[in-house]
Amino acid sequence: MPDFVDVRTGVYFDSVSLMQVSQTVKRTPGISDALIGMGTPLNLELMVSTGFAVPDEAGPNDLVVALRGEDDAALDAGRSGLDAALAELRSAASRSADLTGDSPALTIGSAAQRTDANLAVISVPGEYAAVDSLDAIRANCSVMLFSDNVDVAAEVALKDAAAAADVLVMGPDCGTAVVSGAALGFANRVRAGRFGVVAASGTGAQQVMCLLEAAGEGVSHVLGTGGRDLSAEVGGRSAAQALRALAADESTERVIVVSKPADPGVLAELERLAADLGVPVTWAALGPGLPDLTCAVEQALRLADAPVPEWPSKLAEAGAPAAGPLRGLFCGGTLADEAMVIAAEALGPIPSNIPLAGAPRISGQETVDGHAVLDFGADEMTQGRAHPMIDPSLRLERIRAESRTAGVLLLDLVLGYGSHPDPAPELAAAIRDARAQAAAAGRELPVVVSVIGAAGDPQGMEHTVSALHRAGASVFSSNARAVRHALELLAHRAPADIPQAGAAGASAGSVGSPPGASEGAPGGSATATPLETFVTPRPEPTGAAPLRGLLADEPVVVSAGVSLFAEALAEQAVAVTEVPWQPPAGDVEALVRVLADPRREQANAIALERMLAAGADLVALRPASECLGLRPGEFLHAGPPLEWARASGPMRGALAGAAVFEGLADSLPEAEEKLAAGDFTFEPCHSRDAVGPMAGVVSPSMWMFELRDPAHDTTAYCSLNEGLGKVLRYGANNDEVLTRLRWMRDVLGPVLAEAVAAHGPIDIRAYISQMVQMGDEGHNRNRSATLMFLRDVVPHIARSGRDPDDIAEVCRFIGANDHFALNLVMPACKLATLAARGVPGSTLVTTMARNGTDFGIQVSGTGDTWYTGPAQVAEGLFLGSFGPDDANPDIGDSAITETAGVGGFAMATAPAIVRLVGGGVPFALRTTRRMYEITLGEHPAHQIPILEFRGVPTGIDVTKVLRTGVLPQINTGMAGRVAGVGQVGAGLVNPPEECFTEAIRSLADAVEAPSFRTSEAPSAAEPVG
Amino acid sequence: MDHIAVLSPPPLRPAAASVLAPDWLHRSGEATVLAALPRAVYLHAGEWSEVLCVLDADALRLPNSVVVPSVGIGTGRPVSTGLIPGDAVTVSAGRIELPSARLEVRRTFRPASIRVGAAVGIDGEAVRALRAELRPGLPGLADAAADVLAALDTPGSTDGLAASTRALVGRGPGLTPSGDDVLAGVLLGLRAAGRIRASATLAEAVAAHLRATTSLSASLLRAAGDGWCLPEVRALLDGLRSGGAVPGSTTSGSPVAHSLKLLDRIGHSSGHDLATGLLAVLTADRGRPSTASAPIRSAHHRERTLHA
Repeated sequence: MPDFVDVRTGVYFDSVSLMQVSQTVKRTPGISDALIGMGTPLNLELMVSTGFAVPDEAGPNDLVVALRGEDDAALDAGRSGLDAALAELRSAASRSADLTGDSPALTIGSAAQRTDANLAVISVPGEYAAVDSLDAIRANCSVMLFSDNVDVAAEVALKDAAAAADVLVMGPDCGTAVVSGAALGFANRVRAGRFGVVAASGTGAQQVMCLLEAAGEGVSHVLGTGGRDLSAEVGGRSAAQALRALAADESTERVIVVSKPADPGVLAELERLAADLGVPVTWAALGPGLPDLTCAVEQALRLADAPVPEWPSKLAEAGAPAAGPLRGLFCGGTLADEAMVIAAEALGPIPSNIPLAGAPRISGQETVDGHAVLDFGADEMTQGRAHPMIDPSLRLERIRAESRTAGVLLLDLVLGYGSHPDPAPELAAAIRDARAQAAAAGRELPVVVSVIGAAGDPQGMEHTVSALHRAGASVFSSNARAVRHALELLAHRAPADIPQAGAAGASAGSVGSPPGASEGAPGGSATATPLETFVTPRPEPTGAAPLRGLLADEPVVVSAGVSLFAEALAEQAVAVTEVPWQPPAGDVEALVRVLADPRREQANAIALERMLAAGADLVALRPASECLGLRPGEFLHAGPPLEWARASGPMRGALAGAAVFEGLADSLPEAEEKLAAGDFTFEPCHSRDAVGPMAGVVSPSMWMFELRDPAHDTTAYCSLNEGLGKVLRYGANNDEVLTRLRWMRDVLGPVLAEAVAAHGPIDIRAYISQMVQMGDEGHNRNRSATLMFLRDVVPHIARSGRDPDDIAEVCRFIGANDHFALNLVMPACKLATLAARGVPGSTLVTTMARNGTDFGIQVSGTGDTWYTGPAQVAEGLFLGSFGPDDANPDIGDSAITETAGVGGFAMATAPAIVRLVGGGVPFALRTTRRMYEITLGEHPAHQIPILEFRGVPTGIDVTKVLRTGVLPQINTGMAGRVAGVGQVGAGLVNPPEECFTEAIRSLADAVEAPSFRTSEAPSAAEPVG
Repeated sequence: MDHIAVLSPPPLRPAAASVLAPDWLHRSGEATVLAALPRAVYLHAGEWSEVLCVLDADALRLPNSVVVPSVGIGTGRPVSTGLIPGDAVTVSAGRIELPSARLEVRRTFRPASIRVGAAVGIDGEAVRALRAELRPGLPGLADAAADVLAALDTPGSTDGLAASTRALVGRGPGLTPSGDDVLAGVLLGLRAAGRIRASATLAEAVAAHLRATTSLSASLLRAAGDGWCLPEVRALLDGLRSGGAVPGSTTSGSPVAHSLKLLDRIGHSSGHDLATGLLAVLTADRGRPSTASAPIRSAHHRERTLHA
């Protein structure tokens, strides 16, 4: 097979780029081998061993190309491919690339910080909602929590946390709000005005808003509280906060509180609060014996000295009296409730799929006889389909079906943001059909519709009302009026408004007396004349605005979950950032437990601070027997604990080689036997505060770098780097390896020990700060630090008085090995992570390490416990003829660099590294930016110039990894599967997810408080205090 | 309008208008470009002080503005693309036709404002410390502010007030002259101190001289008379009230340093000039709440609220 070997002087590309070029050329059909590299002795050796004839004059500054093809044609193709690839490398350098490498915020908290948001809209599935809500609260955002299926305990915990942070939780199950002119969720476009609304009911709030609009008034803000807020368990926590905020809000003069029947004790508390705040409140709480929502609004208008209008309506032509049952088909649950409350007066308890107390329950799917009111938004009706306000098809079917049996059809139609963009035509058609079918059977079927909408709604109020009216329906803007009209049509006298609106101010449910007080006293007397209660003027608001100014400021929103919320906000010119949400990995309950742990934030802050403050001074070199107490027969290795039976090729090769090196066996097979038999013991380097690259095997005679952290008075250790090619750490263990190890023991170690002693402590942390500004990331690129070290020790080595040949060899050895400083960077990073170890409640990752079989992590809050999963095989480029099948799973303690924020995390500062897996500079930038999403902070000293000197992302947070699905990015060398082969390539790898999912369970177990209650929340004891 | 090569019609972008937007925004006609800046366009039509600032998302949030929020990660083209001062821009019923985008007002918002009595509880030390570090755009501004305050405190001194006001309106270079910024600061300071009547008197005196300054500055002076301001100014007061600790802030450094950072964001020297006027009131008065019974909401304040 023909060969081609070429030497090109003065062509410089770094080895990583060249690896990529050779990969490209190797893929050319007919090319069986392609080795392209600078003419370093190692590269030339590789070429020679592959059978190429390399010219003698090739040197390290020359580009050497060796190609082998099946025939001449293939070889020519290979050469053209090579030229093209080299040209591409050159031009990519000169092309101005997109240097933003932007990466979106992956969590609510991260997005909130970037945009200075004050409000988060969360509509993710209920079981995950607490995770994102807590994140929002910690980022000082109020929350509109649309999600339902959030349990009471979680709701209380969230609201306590919110109160402590002075933000508001609107929800769970809150779909309607208006904050500073921005309509959130399902809300109508109502003019700005002087009424504030606190609502435990969405459609209830919408009815109230729309009536106010129709009366010529408007709303300042509509604050949702979630449907359960006014229950005894939740105690009105959000309602109280909302009341306080509205009382302090300049544009709010009066408040209407809307809810379904609520706990009397809670209402009484709120009543007291309202009186203290001096803000006039009208209570619109639905329930038997209580006024309907329209009545409550009329009351509020009267108290505000505003005229009460004739609520707009459009009656259909009067037909024959109706005969048959009332059939209410509703989309809004509260509107259905209101209908049942009013109708029950005349018709008795109404069967329903959401029956009031004492009424029979029926299924929404079944056909019924007699009166019925159905809520099509109830859970059973929305399985596998959207809410009827968005997807009306189920109700439309039912309308047509009812033509046979219904006496009067009573419907609601809720317009506004979030609802179906134009429901009128289809609804009108269904109404028309139903009436026509009834007429065909000789019956009159009156249809009564309440349209809850405002003139400015996107659907077009006029258009909607006309369409329905033309179809033969009577249309009302007030749901209560609609219900009464329906009852009249059934030839029943409309029950008196309870209480009658005309009564001179004294009425149950009026301002100043909670509805509960008047239960059992229909048309009852007020406990106080309403107007008197508010002679005390509202105190001038002083101090900072409540809820961090939520009601005074522009809303700046972050959103996770259903896109339509973010879209609707963007349509309203509200600044909104949507977060690409995905369900968190692992046990969600454990995650929530850990997130709610009151210790966590401060624990992480402490752990991070210590990590960032840790120094690293090289103070000495000593043999492992001395500084690590390693005895004969004892060895250390990289990664988590390992048994011989499960050890991979390189690990076994390294251990066997070390045993022979120590003289404990005469041959490698003997060494392996003894190791398998358990004659020797081996444990993780980490167990003795040491680290080792690749197999990382340490034996008693090996010299160790000893580094000390002056800030925390701790020490970490690492062996000396043997160089590239056939080395022990890759599992090679032939004579060459052993000879070198002996030389390192007898010459290198002692010489360096003396030099370092003579020099004094060397600041390795400062090396790292400099190297990241020189295009090195500390894991796969260490040349600059190696040369910095050489610069520091050479004068002392030269003066050592040792044999000149030894001196020369030591200097040459260090200088020729670009990775020599890796063994200084690693223990420096180890010191940083050691400083953060053992802070109870902290979720910061303190170790990432691999032993060639398993990947293990340790977390600050759980000390030395290992969480392991299978080590992955890296993806990248291969040397020579190697391929993925030749690679061993991930191995080495060098991932300690990423754990401390450099290595793969600092890829943006070492863009050349990206040529390992294709992609360009933007990929490097994006990767580092992504790592910011899973870390707790940034390093003050290790800064990345191209990111405008932003500190490297430091302090991996287990909870953020699980929430974002982003695993830490590691750059690594690849060892050959077979012991002794050496390095086969380099690439990118991640830890397995299992490490983190295991860790979160353990962290959850370690959370102290058994329940969710946050002990620091001041309002924990007093819900409305 | 100068034509620029447009390959496709400019995109429709929702925008939010402040309640202070001039009425002509909702009618049909043309507005003139006063200035086209990197992140803002100032438009003028109608009365001298009826200026509308069209702002990109990250621009300084002037109170009489229409704001165009950013879209996802990108921000779209800057609003000032393709415009130079003197260009005419078509406005009709809440829509503004710019070369870079067709803006449509979808929402109104209330800009930042100073609450009456907001200076209650303010830390006198913090005020004095900050005052010592101010760098006003012209010499003698603090004295001029003091003159205005003295005139306000002297009953019946209409001439004195007119003179001291006239000495400031339009004084200094730039789109918002330093003298105007000081006056705006005094107006806001009076409001913060609860001195509503004094504030109204001064506003009236200033109104007589609005034609002596740029349209933009005139519009900002009117806004200041009603208590509307930049978010940075309100944040400044909040910071002073809490003794310099800014809620939710992660910046380390002295409270004065933080206040100065806020002021440096406002124009070339406008922030410091504003603060000169504001603090002149507070150091004279130190946030004593008004003894006169001032309603929490003045009549024209409510007017602003309802006409959203």
